[in-house]
Amino acid sequence: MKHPSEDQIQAYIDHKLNPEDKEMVRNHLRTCPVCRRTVRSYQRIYEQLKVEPNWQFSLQFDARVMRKISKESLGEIYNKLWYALLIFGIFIAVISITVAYTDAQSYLNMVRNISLPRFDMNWDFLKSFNFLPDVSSLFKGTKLNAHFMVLCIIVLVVIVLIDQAIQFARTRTHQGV
Amino acid sequence: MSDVTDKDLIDAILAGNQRAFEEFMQRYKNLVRHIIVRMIANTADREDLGQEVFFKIYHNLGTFRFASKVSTWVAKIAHNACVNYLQKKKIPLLENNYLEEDKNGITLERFRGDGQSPLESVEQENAAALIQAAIEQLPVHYRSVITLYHLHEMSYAEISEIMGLPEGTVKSYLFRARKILRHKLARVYAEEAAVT
Repeated sequence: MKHPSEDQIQAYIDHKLNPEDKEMVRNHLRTCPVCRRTVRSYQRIYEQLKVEPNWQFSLQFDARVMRKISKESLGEIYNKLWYALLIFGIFIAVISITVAYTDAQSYLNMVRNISLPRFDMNWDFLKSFNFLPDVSSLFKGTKLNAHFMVLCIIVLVVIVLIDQAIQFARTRTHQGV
Repeated sequence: MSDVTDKDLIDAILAGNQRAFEEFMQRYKNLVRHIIVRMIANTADREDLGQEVFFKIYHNLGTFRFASKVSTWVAKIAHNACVNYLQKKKIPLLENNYLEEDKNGITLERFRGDGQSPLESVEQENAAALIQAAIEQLPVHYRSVITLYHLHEMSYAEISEIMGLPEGTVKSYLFRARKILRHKLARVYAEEAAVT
């Protein structure tokens, strides 16, 4: 009587045998107590292999992962801001050194002579609107400085850029999904 | 959030929803834990490795193209992290350390307790402890295969993708691992059978 191999017995328990071999092993098991014992011992091992290992991650595991993720995500943005500040600092340093070794007075005069136009805003167009006609009187005589306007625009652009950088860091490459 | 599909969850994470990642972590924490526990013996390093795995998953989610199951992809990252760790520590993946023990005459006797008869000492939970101890003595690759196949019911093809090995090799490791376990535990089971 030829016993099935251990591999065949494992495959029999796994339901991975083809119908012919399965029938052959089944018939053999009816008459062979040795192989029946082998099947039983494998079945016990299979049952035990389904038992989870006891070891668990600590209770702080999730919080630690999330903290690490938040820190690193912000880190990317901070790194970019640090690069921007570094470049700005180098630029200021270069200007300062250049001024010190050149004709500072003429340089300063040149900067002073750069003057952007001042706009005297005419708010009369507000009168053409029918609602709140008195609003125009509130702004009468107000003068807007072009420097101030340019500064406001720069601040707005910087805010938008920072917002975009944060969005980019959060979403990263979304193309794959 | 349990009815949310993996794809919806990943979309939410990529849109910046960190709560979605917490949910993702809950879904795959056991898979990662089982792989790490079975591959890494040093309990002190398991926690750090687990964090590293989820950190890698978070940073690579954008590149996942759903060509395989999410579980396969997650398991692959966890498996690779463990392999890198073991290679750094110069721990072999396939060395038959269990043979060394057998050569020295050390068998599972030491897991049986204090000389009680098998039936007295090897109760249900003790049987689990015995098999866990026997698993720990298997080579790392064998441990990975039996974990993915029996605990997570993955197919040969999935395990092959996770471990980067041909399907035939995976199958051969699985059969050999179970055979070793059976021979290690044969005496215990035989004695039990004799008593009953």
